[in-house]
Amino acid sequence: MHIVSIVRHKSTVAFATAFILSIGATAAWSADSAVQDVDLTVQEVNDISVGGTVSLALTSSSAGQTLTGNSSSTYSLTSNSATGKKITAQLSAPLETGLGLKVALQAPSGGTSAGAVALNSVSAVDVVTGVSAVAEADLTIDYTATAAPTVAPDTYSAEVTYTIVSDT
Amino acid sequence: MAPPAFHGYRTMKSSFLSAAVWLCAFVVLAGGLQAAVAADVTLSGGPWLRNVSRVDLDHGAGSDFRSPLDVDVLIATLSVSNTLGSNWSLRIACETNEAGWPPGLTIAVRRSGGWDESGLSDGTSYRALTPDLQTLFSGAGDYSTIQILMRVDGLSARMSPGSYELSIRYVIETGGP
Repeated sequence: MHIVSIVRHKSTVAFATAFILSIGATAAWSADSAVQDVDLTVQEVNDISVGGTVSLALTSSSAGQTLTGNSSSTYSLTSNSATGKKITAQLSAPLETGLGLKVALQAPSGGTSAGAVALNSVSAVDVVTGVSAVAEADLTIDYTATAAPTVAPDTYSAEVTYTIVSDT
Repeated sequence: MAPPAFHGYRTMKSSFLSAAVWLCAFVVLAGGLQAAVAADVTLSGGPWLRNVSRVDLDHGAGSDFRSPLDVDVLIATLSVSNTLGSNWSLRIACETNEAGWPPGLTIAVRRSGGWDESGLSDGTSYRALTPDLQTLFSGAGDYSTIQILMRVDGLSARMSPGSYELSIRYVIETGGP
């Protein structure tokens, strides 16, 4: 009986030791936490810029014919709009009588160029449509100016404003 | 037959006493261990808000947003206390509404490595946040001023305007099994 008693003691000791070690090990691990919120608010950005002043020299192949001149420039735009945008062009003031000006803009990826478009000061005209989520630089603008033979030789200036607007 | 019964009773009593002693020891030890390692992490700095606009374009029209958008921005100061000198690890993870968080936009954090942080290991290089907890740095004992810096990368014009939100979880773990 003594032998049995000793064995039982050993069982108790072994059980208690294992119990303490296992639970004690669990209790030794602890965690606490803190949480911080990060909020990034992205505004809608529609930004366009054009190259410097463009000069066109108008010439004619023969007397009495309409004079024409061409020149090129560039534009760059960034738009992160989730909805479609378009680029319009408009003269700030009417051209002298007998003068004409057309522009053709290279379309950015995903957009569509309207080709050569005659400008006027009354209303903005679409030059590129279907613009969305783009950041491209150095796209070309081709200018073509015309002058009737009746226009007096001189230097004439025109200001063209390009605007990114909703494509609806 | 009487002696064996008596011996059986004594054996049973002895076993109960043994168990009781060990149970008391367990309560004392486990309670003591738990109290010894219940370290706290406290954050000061509040939510970090950032408004992104055209001024954040890399070089104006035609360019994308700067990347990194922000770097070494102090967003939080952590305090680790009640460690009683124990070793600990600071782990980080982010929680986002994955449907609304744009792919490619990453938030990374590091500690400043200032003199207040001497004795800490690792964590001075940026580590991008993920939903899974990862150890940023570790140390032993209390620290009152651990500065957390943030870096934002990958914002693009291809990402729609709107509000992108995430939560940074800082977890301090002490000891271990």
